[in-house]
Amino acid sequence: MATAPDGQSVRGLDQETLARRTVAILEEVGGQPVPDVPLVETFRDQVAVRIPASHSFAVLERLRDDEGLRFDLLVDVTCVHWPHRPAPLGAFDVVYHLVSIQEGHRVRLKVACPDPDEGVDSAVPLWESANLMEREARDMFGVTFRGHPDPRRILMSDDFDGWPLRKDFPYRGH
Amino acid sequence: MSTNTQLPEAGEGLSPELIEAQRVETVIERVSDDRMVVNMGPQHPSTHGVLRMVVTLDGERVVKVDPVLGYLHRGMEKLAEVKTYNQYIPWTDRWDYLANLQNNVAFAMTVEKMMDLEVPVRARRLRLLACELARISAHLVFLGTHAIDIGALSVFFWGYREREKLLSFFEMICGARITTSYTRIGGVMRDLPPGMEDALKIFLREFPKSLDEVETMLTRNKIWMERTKEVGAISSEQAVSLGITGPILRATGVEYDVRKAFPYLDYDEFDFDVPVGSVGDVYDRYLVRVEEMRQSCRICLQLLDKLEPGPIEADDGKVVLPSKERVLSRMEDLIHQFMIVTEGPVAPAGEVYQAIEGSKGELGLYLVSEGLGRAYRMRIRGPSFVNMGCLAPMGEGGLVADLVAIVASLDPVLGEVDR
Repeated sequence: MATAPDGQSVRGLDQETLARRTVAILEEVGGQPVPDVPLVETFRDQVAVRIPASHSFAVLERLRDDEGLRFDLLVDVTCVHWPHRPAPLGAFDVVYHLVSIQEGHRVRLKVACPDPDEGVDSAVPLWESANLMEREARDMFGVTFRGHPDPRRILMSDDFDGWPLRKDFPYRGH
Repeated sequence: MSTNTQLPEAGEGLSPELIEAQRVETVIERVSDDRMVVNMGPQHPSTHGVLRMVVTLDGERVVKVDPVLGYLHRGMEKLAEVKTYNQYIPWTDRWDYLANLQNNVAFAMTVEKMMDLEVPVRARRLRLLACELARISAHLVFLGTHAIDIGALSVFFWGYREREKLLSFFEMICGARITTSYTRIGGVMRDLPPGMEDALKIFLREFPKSLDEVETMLTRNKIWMERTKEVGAISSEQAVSLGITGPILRATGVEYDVRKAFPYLDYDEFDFDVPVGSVGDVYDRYLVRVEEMRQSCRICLQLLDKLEPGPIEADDGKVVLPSKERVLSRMEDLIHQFMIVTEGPVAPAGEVYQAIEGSKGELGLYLVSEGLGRAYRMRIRGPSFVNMGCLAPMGEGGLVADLVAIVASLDPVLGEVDR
């Protein structure tokens, strides 16, 4: 019996269309794609659109407000550490997962962040849910979210030294 | 506190002591501008685990709530980077430790999606059954503890009596009551024992009646309604902005359920309704969860009728452990077994996100693989963690006693909040 892949949207736009619309929005806000890397990655029926850090906030805002896309729910913000990845992408990816409850589709955005101290713009002005999740991402990876209203540590204690989910942080023996 | 108490007119026949006592009370109210900071938790009985809230009080009124998280942080995401996929399954029991089965299923599904591995129909059915039973069991804990926080002790016993039966079923399914570790990459660890289906059908038919019992006790109960109606209400817009999912979001009237919007495990083949509330207060959350239990029963009964015999593990020698006889008689299977145990079942490089509708909301796993038998990075999007964001908007401005009701209605499981 052939069944649809798990997690596929029932009534929303398909992933290719979402990727195309997101890329169009990136062009409208004047963002240049990160050179020499694919703009859209597709794996197992899921797309990820790569957005330059300079335009991440503008794109997120447009995705939230765009008629027909309406990404009203910021499901997840997290990071991935690639310590040896060369420029222009650099060592960190900030990954956003967006869902549109109204339209019933979801998309993934990846923002490369070469310098964790410089970081990326906080999404808290757009979604309140970014508050806790960005706090956690900073707590674990040391990536700054510029303009975050409350950038304290959240899971680790306030006096903890180090960023536990970075690859150079030992699994045991810290 | 005593805003309705009026000072008696002089000469109304009250004793001078009483008049003096009431005068003192009003004086205390007038000078209570000083704010007080109270630590609620991490060892407070009503916080359901090691949740600590720093609460600023103005008398009985809550001015500010600041949840302090991390007391149960065990580095679940870091651990996923050093354990092979099968080794990690026992750790998934310890995220939301009241609905372990659904964590097992979510993790196995994510890894299989990465591998693009097709799981046999019976295994999918058994997983769906496990998910729904876990939902009922988790909601029963919510019901019991929520009631106990508000003062209805007997509901706690009734809820746990039913949960006890479910835990016995879990024991029949996988040999453990809490640390189930039911799934394997490619299937489930074992089939239902003989006689279980009939016993489960009897339970599922009886169970709604015991829910009726609970509802008779609570739903129209004056005290219950006073304590929960209009308490901790939140608008649907704010709930969506806060990233709330699951019963809390649906109590505000937003019909978002991963099982309907992004179906997995053939949920689209079963008839069930998604209950929604209208006000988004503590009372609505209670009603939504009670109805969800009934709907889960409905799904399970349909599923048991559709359940057909068949394999419970995928036919892929590089992922699923071969049987002992084959290991001892065929060289390829011996090699496969060695590789699966030592290196783990290998998933190609890539990244996937798989969400399921957990008992608390959208449980999403974002898995990044580098082509090894373990994850390069695994993000656990625990719904309880994100749902903690609504504690402050709900609790601030209310009474301390309401805060207890609100925490109970959020139903946080700290294993999932702190991971």
